[in-house]
Amino acid sequence: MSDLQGLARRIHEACGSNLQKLYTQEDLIPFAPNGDSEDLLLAINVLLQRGYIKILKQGDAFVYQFLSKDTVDRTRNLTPDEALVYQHIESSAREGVWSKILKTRTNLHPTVLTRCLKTLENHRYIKSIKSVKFPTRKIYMLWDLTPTIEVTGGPWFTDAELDADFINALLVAIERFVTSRSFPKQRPGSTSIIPFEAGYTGYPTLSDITQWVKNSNLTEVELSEADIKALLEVLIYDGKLERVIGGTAYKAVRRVEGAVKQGVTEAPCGRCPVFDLCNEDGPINAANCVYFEKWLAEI
Amino acid sequence: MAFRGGRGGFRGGRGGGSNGGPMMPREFDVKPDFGPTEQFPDYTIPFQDPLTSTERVHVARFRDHREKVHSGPLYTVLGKRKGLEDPFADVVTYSAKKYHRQKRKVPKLDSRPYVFEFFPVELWETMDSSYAATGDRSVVINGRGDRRKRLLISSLNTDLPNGGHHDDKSDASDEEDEEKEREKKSVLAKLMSHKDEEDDGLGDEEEEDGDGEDEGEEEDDYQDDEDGDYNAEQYFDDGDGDVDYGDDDGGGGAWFD
Amino acid sequence: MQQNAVELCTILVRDTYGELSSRVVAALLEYGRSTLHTIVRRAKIPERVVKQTLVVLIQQHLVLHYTNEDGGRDATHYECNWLQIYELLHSGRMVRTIEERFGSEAASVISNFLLLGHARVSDFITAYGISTKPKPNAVLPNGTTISASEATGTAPITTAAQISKHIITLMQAKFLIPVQVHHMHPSVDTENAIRQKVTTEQVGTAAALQARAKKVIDEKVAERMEALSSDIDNKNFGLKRKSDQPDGRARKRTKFSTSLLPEEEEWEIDGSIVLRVNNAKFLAIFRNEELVRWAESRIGKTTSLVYAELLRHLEKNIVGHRTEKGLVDGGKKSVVSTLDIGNTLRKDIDLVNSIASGPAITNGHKRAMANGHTTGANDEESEGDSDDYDLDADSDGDVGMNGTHELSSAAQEKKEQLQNIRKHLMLLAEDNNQFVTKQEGSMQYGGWTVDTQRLCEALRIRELEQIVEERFGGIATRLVRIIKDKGKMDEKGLADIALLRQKDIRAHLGTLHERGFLHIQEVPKTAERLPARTFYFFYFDEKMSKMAMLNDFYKAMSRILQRIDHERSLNSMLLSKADRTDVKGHEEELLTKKELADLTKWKRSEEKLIGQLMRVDRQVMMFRDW
Repeated sequence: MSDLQGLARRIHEACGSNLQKLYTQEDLIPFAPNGDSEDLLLAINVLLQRGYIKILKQGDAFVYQFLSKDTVDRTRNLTPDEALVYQHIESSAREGVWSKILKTRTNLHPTVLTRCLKTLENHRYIKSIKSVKFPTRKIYMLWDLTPTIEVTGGPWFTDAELDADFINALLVAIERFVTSRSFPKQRPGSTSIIPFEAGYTGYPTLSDITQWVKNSNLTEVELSEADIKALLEVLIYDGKLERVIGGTAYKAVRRVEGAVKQGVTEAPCGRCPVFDLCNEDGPINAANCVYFEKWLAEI
Repeated sequence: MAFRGGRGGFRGGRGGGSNGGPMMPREFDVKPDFGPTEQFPDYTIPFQDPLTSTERVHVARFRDHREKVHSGPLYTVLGKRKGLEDPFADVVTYSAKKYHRQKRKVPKLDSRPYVFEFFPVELWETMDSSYAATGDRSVVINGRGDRRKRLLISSLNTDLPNGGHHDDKSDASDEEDEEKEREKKSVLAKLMSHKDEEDDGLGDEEEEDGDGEDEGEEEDDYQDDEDGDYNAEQYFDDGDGDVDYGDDDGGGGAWFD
Repeated sequence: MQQNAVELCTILVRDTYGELSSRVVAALLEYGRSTLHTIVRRAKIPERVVKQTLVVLIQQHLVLHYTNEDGGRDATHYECNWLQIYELLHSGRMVRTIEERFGSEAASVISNFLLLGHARVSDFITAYGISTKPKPNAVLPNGTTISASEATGTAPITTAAQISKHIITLMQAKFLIPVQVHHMHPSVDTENAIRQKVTTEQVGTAAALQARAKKVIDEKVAERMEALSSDIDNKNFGLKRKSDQPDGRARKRTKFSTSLLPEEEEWEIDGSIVLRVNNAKFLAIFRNEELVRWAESRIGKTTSLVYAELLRHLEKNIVGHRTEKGLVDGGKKSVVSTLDIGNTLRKDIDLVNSIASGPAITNGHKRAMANGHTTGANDEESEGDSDDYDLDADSDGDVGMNGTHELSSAAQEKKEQLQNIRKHLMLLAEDNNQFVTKQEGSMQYGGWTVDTQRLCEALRIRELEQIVEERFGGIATRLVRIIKDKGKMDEKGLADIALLRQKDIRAHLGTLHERGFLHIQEVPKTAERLPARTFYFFYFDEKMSKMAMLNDFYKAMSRILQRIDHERSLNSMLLSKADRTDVKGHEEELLTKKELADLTKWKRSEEKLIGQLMRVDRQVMMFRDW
């Protein structure tokens, strides 16, 4: 029996170091003393009883997941109610679980549930997180887990809030980078920006840009090509970049000071706050308009 | 009511929201403001990018063209009703009569040849008094029955508003040049502020003028200054004094019959 | 017709032709097609005066008329031609355009035709020919010399031959077109008359199937309407070859001839025809000027000069017809060859240093080789003249190639010029807007066409976005572009793509919707149609946005004109004094310092306001005419 304890400890020590890995029966066979699978099974049973191991189903086969000693100790000290709540939260993994769902699943009285959650939170076993999709819901997950992208909203979100400053900083940086690759270096003495010849292929591609962002120390956040693409889309919608070479590369839109002719928007009427009320026979008209007055003063 | 509220705030709540925007779901960020506001709420007035030299030439040509029409036989200015003249602005002095441009209350038509088939028959007698008198279609058919009638041709003013330059200094001097051009802004402004009285003006004119011609309307017009109030060089004078119509347009010196 | 357009037209007519004309126009615009008596009643002007005014308006093509002659009693209806009224705004620019292209004598011809409305050629030339007065101020008053043509422009036109030369030039270029009776009628009436005629013709032949007969009639009507306008498309319509005049009518015709075009026959004008200014042609010119500006801002000055030259070649064939779809250039779709452009392009344009060749500045070396032949541009280059391309690719080294090619320097120069022009044209073709389209074919150095209709579509969109940006800021523009691109979108989806918070875009969407740039479709989730349980989808409708904007433009233009009136009335005493014949030309002596300052200020104000008016006009043309 003592041998069995020893075997169980040995197995746990060997496999418990990698808590993410799932072990099949075959994986554990090497631990069986003298190839005796009987003893092995007994040892696994011991681990199961003590909660150091969990059986999961993967396809048709059963696999084992090892739990750390901490985790085991944690649950051991919980009240049955707390343990129940803990188990439900644990099973929700990185998605987290909404307090309302928790209530229906555990069937606990609200005050009991609240007390349980509080205790668990105080012990730093669980935490409440904010979801991008449901900003008003209270969602719980285990303390040491990181929420999934669906919950956090991806790299653009900080605490389930869109991080506008972060996004803008990236937009500006990327625009600058693409602009620097879109036009040749100005010749000395020349003030105008000249274009690359037709058929030029040096404009940066999505992977060029992603690579540049990665190497640029702009952010610690890992940004995928899809993330960079989303930023590039926004820059295109802003009229700052455009796709070239059949959509495979990006180029800055040439912008020249004063080249864009304005019309109505530089007249007083163009942005007039009372334009709709302006009428020749009304109290607001062209003759008594103070905006025209000021506009004309700038001659 | 988020939109309506937003607009109310912006527009000062003065009857804004006439076409009520759609109801917006969820939280409302803009609170309606139904308080009284100024007639002209403050806003940043846009700045006009200074006109380019090309644009200034376009403007100059536009003004010039309009000026030519104003000096011509087709432009009409309706007089003010008697008794409503501004005692200071409208006082008729000798010099005013002598030097001010004549104003036409009705267009002067009888001076040029027409392509009659382009006009409806009911207007023919208006276009040519000899047709009116005789109903003689031959006047119309050969188109140029009246040999004395001639199109009025004017020369083009090709001055550039700023000599092609674009600095302020030359602008200032160019303004002077422009003045020397035939810049004759007329009494149109007066018209704008006296719309109500025009009916009567016309009525008067109808009474005093029953012969189908526009003689007698241009009361102001008794100067015979050859240079007229237009630049005489602008027009090509055939020197052929017109007996029939000389009375009423001799002063103009510009439009010939 | 939009109320704001009615207001603008009324003001414009008042501004140009005075109060009487504007009252008649207002009555016609307000109530539509009317008879003489209806106008008299509505304008509250005596019949005699209404008739005189109608003559003016018809002469200027501002009013159309039609007399229904069947049914015994003739009834003449009048109808306002409001687009022609709007054209009053273009007078200055039209005159200037001709001045720049053909000199001031030709500009003077255009100016006079504008003043006259239309005129019989013989009358026009007679009136001109009479003038032999030398013009005293042959030098510009301010002493500036502008260009040779402009300096001589102040000299009077003296001979009939000179005038007819200008008229022929302007006719061949379609700036002047013959007026026919049907131009004086509303096209609806013309069409109805043709339909009636066709129908009566048809009755005799095949009264069998009514439905089929209707289709046949429709086709015939369309055909004949087409024929009416196609006369003008003919380059020499209204002109006669000097050699083959039919002797019978030669006597009646006033003959003016010219040997303007050396390679072609001499032409003379049929003196009996009536001419007017072709506004549509000018609209096409203005449109092309805008396209050149656009190319300049997107690619560069030099490329835009090449583009301008190409468009000038195309312009020769443009007649210009206004249709519901916009401006149609008319005539055959023409191809301009690189050679054409090379023959007329100014030689002092630096074609070489205005383009950077790729390989010289390699920052894309990783892909340059791999992607090289996937682009259409390189494909075409490698077709027939690959050696040329090699030459180009060496860029800086191509001077040294002279020897190896063993060409005379002039020929070599020409060849290089054509290659360089082609490089600029390739840039224009490769641009996302596709300013030009390369035509397949054997034309040396390539042939090019321009799809103006598609380009103007893109131009409109750009302008619209520009206006949104100016008025509502960058975020609003981003939202409009997304909605335009993706179709119907709800707030959530928009926020996701725009990478913006929903609460940050809500106010923008509200404003855009209010001003008519966006529209909303409501889709209730439940039968109760509760606002909280409804999806709101924003969408963009170009046509509706266009209308909303044009409406705003017209209103803004009216306000500018009204403000000019106001400013003028503020200065009425001064202006009336400055207008006096004894003061004119002697302002310095006769006006006080303050008066002079005020006069200058007034002129600047008016210039600023009219300048603004023309800038809005540019947008109106873009949204309505092009």
